[in-house]
Amino acid sequence: MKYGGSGDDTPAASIVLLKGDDLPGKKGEGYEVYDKATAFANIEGVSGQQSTVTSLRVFGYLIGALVIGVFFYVLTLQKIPQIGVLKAIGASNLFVFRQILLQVVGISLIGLAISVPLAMLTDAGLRRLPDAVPIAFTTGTFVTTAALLLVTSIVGTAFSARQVIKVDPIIALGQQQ
Amino acid sequence: MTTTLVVQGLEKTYGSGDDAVRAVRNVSFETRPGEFVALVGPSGSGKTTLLAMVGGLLAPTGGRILVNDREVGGTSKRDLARYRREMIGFVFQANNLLPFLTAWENLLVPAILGSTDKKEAGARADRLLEELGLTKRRNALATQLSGGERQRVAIARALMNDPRLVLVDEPTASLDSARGRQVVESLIQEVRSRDVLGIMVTHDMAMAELADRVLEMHDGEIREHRAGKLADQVPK
Ligand SMILES: Nc1ncnc2c1ncn2[C@@H]1O[C@H](COP(=O)(O)OP(=O)(O)OP(=O)(O)O)[C@@H](O)[C@H]1O
Ligand SMILES: [Mg+2]
Repeated sequence: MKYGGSGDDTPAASIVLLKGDDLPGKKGEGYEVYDKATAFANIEGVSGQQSTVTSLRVFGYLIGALVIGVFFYVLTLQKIPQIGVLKAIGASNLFVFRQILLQVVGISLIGLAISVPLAMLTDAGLRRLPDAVPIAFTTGTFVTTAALLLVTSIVGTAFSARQVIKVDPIIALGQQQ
Repeated sequence: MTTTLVVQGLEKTYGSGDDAVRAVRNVSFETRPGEFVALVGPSGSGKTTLLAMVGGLLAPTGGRILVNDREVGGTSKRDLARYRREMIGFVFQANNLLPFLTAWENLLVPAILGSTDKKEAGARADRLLEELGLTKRRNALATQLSGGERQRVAIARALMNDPRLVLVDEPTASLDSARGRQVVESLIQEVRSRDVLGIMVTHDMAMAELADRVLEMHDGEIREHRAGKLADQVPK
């Protein structure tokens, strides 16, 4: 068997898959055995592609977190008049904050209930394409992403705690219709 | 239980130095048991500032406020929130209600804050809605209520926790005069029937005349005390 180009100077480059114990590390004439991960990482382009995909994922999460954070922040800002009235009639900061947290968790769960099935549909759709797109949505991905989303929402809400504390109940007296 | 309110030498100065505004100057007055007081005066005369201090929303820069012989203010934010929750019923100018709740649910808010028994609070809310002629609107969202209905729900809410003092700032600002009058009449009736003290800030002399007594403010001072026109005609 001969791999590679036909010229004698062309390096023959290819991979043969082997299955067995203690294979990685063995060397012979013209070949060397690596484990799978190292082998993939050494293929030209793969590591580059991997880091692109990883940074895409990281940025995806970061942007998601930012959007969620801003969304809940704006949600709190919009409610400042109501928070003022609540505090004026004697609600504690803790009470107001707890209500916001409950809402945020509620909204996030609804968001997940909508987005997870959509992602599953996308996955199923992609698999049906004649040229399969090399993306895999694993259960792990779903669970991690969902958990991250929930945690992000809750952490994001912590920022609105400052807003809540800053609201002076006296604004309830000054509000026009 | 009769409530007493004594205000002695009350002062409020906003800001300091050249920008200082002395909004309330050496104000003293006492209320009589179960009295409904109207606070009138030109814009900027210090009415809202005075009301806010009595309601524990603003710290005085001098003088004292005694409710049932206990001094208000000088306490922590938490104590003030508790004072407002337990002693005060507020009716604001606007945006009193939470828009995403029904009239009835809005009434339950003070009960939830005060951790009153839920069932009892529900029944009390229904009673108040009936007294204010709002039974039909019980399940309407706050946003679906008319301006007058909204203010009447706000009055009911102010009474939910059995306050000792009901404080009202321009309750009719967003209503036409006929509707405004209805609202103020229900307010006075509700307050009087409970032996609660009422203080209402208003621009509208016709509304002020419905009270037992009218206090007139000018430049941060109370210039005039006088009896409301109808004070003697309204049965106590
Ligand atoms: N937060 C504040 N900072 C500085 N000055 C203030 C503040 N609030 C009110 N003032 C000033 O204090 C004075 C009294 O204001 P206040 O709101 O008590 O008047 P008011 O009698 O309620 O007027 P209006 O009838 O217009 O509601 C005014 O000169 C006002 O400009
Ligand atoms: Mg005012």
